[in-house]
Amino acid sequence: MQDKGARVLIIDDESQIRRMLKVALTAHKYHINEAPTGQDGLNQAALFHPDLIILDLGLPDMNGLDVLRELREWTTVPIIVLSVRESENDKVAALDLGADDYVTKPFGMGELLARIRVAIRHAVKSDTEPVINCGSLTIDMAHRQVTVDKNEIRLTPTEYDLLKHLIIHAGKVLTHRQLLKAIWGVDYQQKDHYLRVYIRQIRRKIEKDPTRPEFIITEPGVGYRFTSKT
Amino acid sequence: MYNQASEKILVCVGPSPFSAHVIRAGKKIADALQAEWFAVYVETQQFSSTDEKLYEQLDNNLRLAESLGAEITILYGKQIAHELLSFVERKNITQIVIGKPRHAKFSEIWKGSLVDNIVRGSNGISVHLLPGESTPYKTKISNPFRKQHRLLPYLFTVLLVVFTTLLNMLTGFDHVNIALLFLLPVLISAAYWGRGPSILASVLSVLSFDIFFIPPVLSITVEDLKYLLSFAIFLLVAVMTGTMANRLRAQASVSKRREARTAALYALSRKIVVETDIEGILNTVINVIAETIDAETTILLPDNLGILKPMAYSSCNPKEFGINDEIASWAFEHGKSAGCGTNTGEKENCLYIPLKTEEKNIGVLVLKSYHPPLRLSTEQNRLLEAFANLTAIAVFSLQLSAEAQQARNLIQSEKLRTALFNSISHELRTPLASIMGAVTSLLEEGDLYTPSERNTLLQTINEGALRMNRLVKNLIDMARLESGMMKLKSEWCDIQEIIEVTLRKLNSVLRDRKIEISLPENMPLINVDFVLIEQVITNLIDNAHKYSSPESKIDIIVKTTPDNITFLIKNLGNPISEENRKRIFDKFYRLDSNRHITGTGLGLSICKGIIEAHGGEIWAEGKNNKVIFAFSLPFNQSPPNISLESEGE
Repeated sequence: MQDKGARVLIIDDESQIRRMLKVALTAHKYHINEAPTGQDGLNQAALFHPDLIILDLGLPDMNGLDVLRELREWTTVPIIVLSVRESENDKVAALDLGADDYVTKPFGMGELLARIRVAIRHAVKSDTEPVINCGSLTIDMAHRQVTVDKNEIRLTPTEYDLLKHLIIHAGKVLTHRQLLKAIWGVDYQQKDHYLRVYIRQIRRKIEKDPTRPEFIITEPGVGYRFTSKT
Repeated sequence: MYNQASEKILVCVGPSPFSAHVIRAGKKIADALQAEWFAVYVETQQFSSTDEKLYEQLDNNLRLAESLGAEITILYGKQIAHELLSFVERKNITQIVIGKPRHAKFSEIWKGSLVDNIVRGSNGISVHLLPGESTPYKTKISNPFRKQHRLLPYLFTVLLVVFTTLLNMLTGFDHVNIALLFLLPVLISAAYWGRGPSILASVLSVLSFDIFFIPPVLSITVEDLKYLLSFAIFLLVAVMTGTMANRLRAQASVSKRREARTAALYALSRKIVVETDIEGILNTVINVIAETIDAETTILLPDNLGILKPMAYSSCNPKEFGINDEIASWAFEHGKSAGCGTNTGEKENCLYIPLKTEEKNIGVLVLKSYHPPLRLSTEQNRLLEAFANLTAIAVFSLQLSAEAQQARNLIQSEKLRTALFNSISHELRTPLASIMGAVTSLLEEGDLYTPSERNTLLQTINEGALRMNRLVKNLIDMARLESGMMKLKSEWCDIQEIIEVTLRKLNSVLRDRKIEISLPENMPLINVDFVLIEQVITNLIDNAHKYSSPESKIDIIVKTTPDNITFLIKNLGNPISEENRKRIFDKFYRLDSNRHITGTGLGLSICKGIIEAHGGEIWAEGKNNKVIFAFSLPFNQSPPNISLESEGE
């Protein structure tokens, strides 16, 4: 796979977490560099040229969100944020500031590795292919056509745009704000309920069991994520 | 401060001007000995100060004593000596100062004088006798109106006797009846005008009887010397009846005053009893005082730092009251009245009366008259003191009960803490034990195990870690709920999505468990905190799974009405008793029948906290082997309208 050998910078003050990540990620053929403080992380990001940064939001010397903001001033390197469960606001803030994904502590290694893969792939992916296949769901962007199990699904223009936007960022979590801004424009950023209603309608059309969706996954308090099992 | 092993001096005060000398002498002795001293007046029935003038004199004497630093006490009783001596015993008085009148009273001949009685009963206590001066008991009265006023009764008495004489002449009764009729003016004058007029009436009646009815008529001489005896008896009877009527009158007036005081106190206590908080009590007291005494009132109570703060006041703003903080705290600390009319801060406008109980001083009652200077009669002073005592007791008992409540709460929280401690230590150690056991096995002799055994050990570690994670999450939620840090982040949510997230999260726990979901069509959005409600549903489904057999199915049913949405989770299981249905939502409450299943007893109480924070309700039901946990949330606002577009382009 193309992400093998990628360089990963870990910014976290907990040595145990760094050690554990280093062992696991090295075993998966990543090159690891560690930074125990925010300032160190900012320096290393410039020197080490990482392909991905894992950033803990709780750092001793500075706010993780500030580190994120400073990084985003000059680099588009994918950033995965580590946060604790209680701070949905931090997660949303980090994503809105340009983080690519978040993982909640405590986390399983499989989950983190999957996120790393998605983030690196997104970064290297150039243009979206015109036809995307995700299991039973196919979307043909050239013809604005969506099919489930070969049956064509009729979507409203907004539903189509929303689904397309989710699919383009497949695997990545999109916050409510990001989705609203992308589909309805800046004025709609506070109108969460639009999103809820449209997501429900799309699910009804593409999901077999809307209470156990396969494609559009709810990230509680944060947003939505399109999962492609392929 | 007074000498501790000290002398205590008692000064007997009476309504005579001479008493002032006794008081001053007492003060000198007290000063010389650095002793605490008491000025005591005993109000008896035969010696009650019925006379306005005497009353005023007594008032002045008591005031003088108070201003010289004595503690004023007024005792009630039949025998002055007896009351005084029992007071002496109560207070451990070491010396008595008393004035001895120059003139002996007639009664003292057989009763013994007050002084004699005291000396006899003093049991080794030093008694200082001050010889009385020949100052007349009643000083000259300069007020001409009052003089006239005092002569009027005599005039009426004379008229009464004249009238009776005329009546007797007209009716022509025999001597016995005439004598009886002559008792009438004696009784009337005794009852209405006191001893003097009654004696006058007696003498006049005898004379009139002698002159007009006893032969020889119109002459003071009598034929039969037997009549002299009759006169003597008549005079004796008249004087005695007069004295008794007079005494009755005095008693009536004393009891009237006492009754007024008792009534006022009773009224106050009745009003205070109804009050449940200190503020209420203080306001009631202020109102009652305002009704009784023409003065502005404030009550100062110490705050947490012990600084006196006005807690209640009558109409006047306490800032304009001109309270002297120093004097107020002096009165508070020393438990003695201060301010105007006392010897501490005499020039102040306000009077500071401490609110005292046996145990401690509660606060200070401050009075300021509308028209300075504030001058209160002894009677008013006594009433105020009684009010102050009553207030102090009421406030104190309320404070005590508040403290008791606090203590009870403390015990309660102590119990909770113990429960928490036990629960957490158990719940944390169990998974830790399995994790450590498995890890050390792998670390120390990992080669011994087959890959499948190693996998089992790793699974154990994983499960233990997940369990600890759940516990920590519960504890954090509980702490956030309790500390009030849990802020609702309400947004428009789709219940279906919440269920989706819940089921996904519980996937590893539920595995292949059969779950049936029934949702109404077109469920409206609801404005709640997504993450918290998800937490509630997660806990409820997790419980349903834990407490029922793995083969049975779990039903999730959502119903909506225009007003609310109800969420029911049903599973097969032992029905919960009526009593436990409420308690099951209490912190750390776990059913004994479920002891074998791991749990902290926190999950349901967290659910309750979250649902109540949303203004909803949560409850448990159970019938026919089914256990239902349900909650409902109100639709506080209707979801905003969205104009939907049509499909296709």
